[in-house]
Amino acid sequence: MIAETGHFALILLMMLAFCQAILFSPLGIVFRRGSLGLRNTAHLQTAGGVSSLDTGGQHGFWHHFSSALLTPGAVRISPGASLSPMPLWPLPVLICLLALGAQASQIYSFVTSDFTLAMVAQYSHSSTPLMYRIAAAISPDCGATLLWVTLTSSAAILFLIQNAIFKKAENPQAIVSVMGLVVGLLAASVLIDGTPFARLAAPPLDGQGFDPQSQDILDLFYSPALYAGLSGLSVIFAATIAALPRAALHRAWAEMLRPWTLISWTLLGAAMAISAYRAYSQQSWGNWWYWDASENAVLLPWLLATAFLHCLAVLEKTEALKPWTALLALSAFGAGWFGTFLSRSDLLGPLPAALRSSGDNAVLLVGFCVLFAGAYYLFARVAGQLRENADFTLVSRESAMFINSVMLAVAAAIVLIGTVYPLFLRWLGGTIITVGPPFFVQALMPVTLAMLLLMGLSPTLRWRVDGAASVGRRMKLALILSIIVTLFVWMRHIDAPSLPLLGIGLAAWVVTAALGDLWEKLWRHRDHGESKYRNIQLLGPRYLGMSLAHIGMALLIAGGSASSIWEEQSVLSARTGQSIEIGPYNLQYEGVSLLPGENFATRKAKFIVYRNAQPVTELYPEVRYYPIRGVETKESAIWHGRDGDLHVSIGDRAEDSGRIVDVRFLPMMPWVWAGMLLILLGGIINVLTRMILLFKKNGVSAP
Amino acid sequence: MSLSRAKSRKRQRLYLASLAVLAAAGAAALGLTAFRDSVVFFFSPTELAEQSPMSPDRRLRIGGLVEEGSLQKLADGKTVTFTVTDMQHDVQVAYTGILPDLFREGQGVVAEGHMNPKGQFVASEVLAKHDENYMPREVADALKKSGHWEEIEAQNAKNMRN
Repeated sequence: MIAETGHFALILLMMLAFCQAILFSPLGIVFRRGSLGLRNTAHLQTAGGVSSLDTGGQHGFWHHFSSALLTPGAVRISPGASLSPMPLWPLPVLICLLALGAQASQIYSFVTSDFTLAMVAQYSHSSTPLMYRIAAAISPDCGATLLWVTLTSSAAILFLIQNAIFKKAENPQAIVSVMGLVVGLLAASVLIDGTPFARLAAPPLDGQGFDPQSQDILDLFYSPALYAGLSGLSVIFAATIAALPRAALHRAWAEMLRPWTLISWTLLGAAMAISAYRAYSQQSWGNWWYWDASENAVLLPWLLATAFLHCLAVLEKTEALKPWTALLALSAFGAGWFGTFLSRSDLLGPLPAALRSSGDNAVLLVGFCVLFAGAYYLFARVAGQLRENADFTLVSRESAMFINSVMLAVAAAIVLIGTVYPLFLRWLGGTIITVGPPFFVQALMPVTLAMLLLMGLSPTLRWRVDGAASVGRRMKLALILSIIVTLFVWMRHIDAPSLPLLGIGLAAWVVTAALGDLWEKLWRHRDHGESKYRNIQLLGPRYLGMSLAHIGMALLIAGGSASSIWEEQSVLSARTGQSIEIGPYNLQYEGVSLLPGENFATRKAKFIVYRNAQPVTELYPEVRYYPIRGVETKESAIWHGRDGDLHVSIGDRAEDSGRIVDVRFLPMMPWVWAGMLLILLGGIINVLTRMILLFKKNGVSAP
Repeated sequence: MSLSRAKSRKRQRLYLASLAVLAAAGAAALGLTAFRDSVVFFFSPTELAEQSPMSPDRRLRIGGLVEEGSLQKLADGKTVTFTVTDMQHDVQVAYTGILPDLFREGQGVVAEGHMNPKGQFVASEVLAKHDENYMPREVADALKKSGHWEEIEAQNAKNMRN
């Protein structure tokens, strides 16, 4: 009964969401006037914001009609008509409550292991620990889309709260309308593509169990982070659609979207970091990024959101780059949606017919086409009319950030092509090709290097106008230092390949430039008769967050490059008591013991790690056997040392009665993880301090 | 004064736009080169047999079903060999290292590596990063081509019911 209630709530939600989309749009105004019995709906007038778009009188009627369609808030009912504006709150709140109800009922059926539900029977088991039953509710396809619906409708509420406090949005009606459309389409996808509430005619006694590969604490947070990030992008998308027809992409718009951008950017980054670390600790070959479709599905929106984040900063400062920023805002959400579709459609690998119950996500695809065809059509129509006073010169922070955002978009395009092209070729019936890591590394590395070059440079550039000579003077030290680092590394490892080496050098450039700039700002500036601490405060959260994220990115690239060059590996068949040398470490294999787990049996090996004959730590790589699914998983054990990661995994018993052991030493790999954490920390600091400053009355306001 | 300023501003923006286009074009060119160099083609055992001998320098992917009973562990303790088949032709694969979690006899597998002169496929990676009931797309296509897809699928469905 609970599940049926949830199902009903979802159906009701979908209908209400489409109602919301219509009622808050200009169509809704026409519609409501009609239903109120007011005749002559044609004399709608458009507000001043639109009249600037009027280019000529020839197609006046169509123009009026379409601008009435496109600009809900701008439509003003002619005097005399008594039509109050739609109240903003009731519908979104109702929808959000329904979504929460549906989500709760679905999670409830998983928690209570109601195997009459097809989805519970497929993804859960009575022996699955409680935490992973909840994970099973939200991570498979249809469950994840339901989570997406819930989070998007909650994001709409958060937007309304933000709007109530700050009143930044010019026409919240339109934003609410677009959010309604997004929620409605997603809910339709849940209902039609594969509902999580379907009952089985002949329920099994027990389920098939949770996917053992995802049974991990970190993995619990992957779906929530990813879909929360995507919901944040949907608010940005809605706000852009609302602002485009009135050409209202101005400072207030940018300020309103800033927290949304930062939060969704951070969440998408967190989702990527989780998937990277999981891949790293689960596969025996110590790889942390596979460039497979589900990873690219997150990388794409993240790249575009990063580009958008930077352009938004430019727009907020100088009201420049409006069309480009709008395009990025639309594309970021579009990439997120398309990536989600791609990673779960059977384009990438058909399921056997016996399993093909979850449909082919047709609604998700149709929804994508409808939503984004409309969005890009709107963009194409109005982009030309976006006025901007772009009085910045070639050498200025604006142009550096613009070029960098172009590079990010190009990187996204490369990732998209690499993901989609093989599918396209296969669809044409041609040869089957694989576009794997070599392609992505080779194609993206030059773009990344150019971005790193600009990344070091642009924070030190002045807004609007800067001189090449003075830039050279400022960057002299950083340039010299980074060349020294590159030469030093090159001298020590003369046969290292050139691209990763350049990566290390440019990473050094970014770090020295960022630190140099920080030093300049902290100590070279006059301290206004107060302590240096005051200078740190004056820098503001945005600057600190940016510096952290840039340094983090540099560390990530440097660590990734270095570990790819200097990785050491040894695969052997080890016997108890045998000692294995790798990098600076010496491991002693202490044998395997068979232990029971929560819902698995595990063979846990013990290694004692020595460094310079001193015991450092003990590592316990495992092979787990999950009897429910009859699947083995390997959990590597990792030691993050000061100069590299020690990565140990075990395999089967070997023919000579030893055990296969795969030991790797990945130099500078901790830099990658530290870099990811710093990037996330940059985003979190930026968001949190902003919030604290807002609520602290006597605080220092952000510059 | 203001006119010339406007003009110079226009010129600056033109420079900027051309710089952006140049960057994008350069990246696209690099991407295309990377494509030519690093795309790995997929072969089913039948296609491999048709095109043999294959140059040992060429990196390729093969896929099919792991033949039942073909998995052997060699005496050095860390190398395994197995036979990949599309029910028409076979190819022997050697791999040193730990096999992925979902590797099983009778299941689909994709391996990346190169052919050695003896006609053995030396895999540097064995890929099975997927659900246990899921057939890699390439393998499914290869089996369809060899005309054995239906029986495999029927067998899979039977296994699932058990």
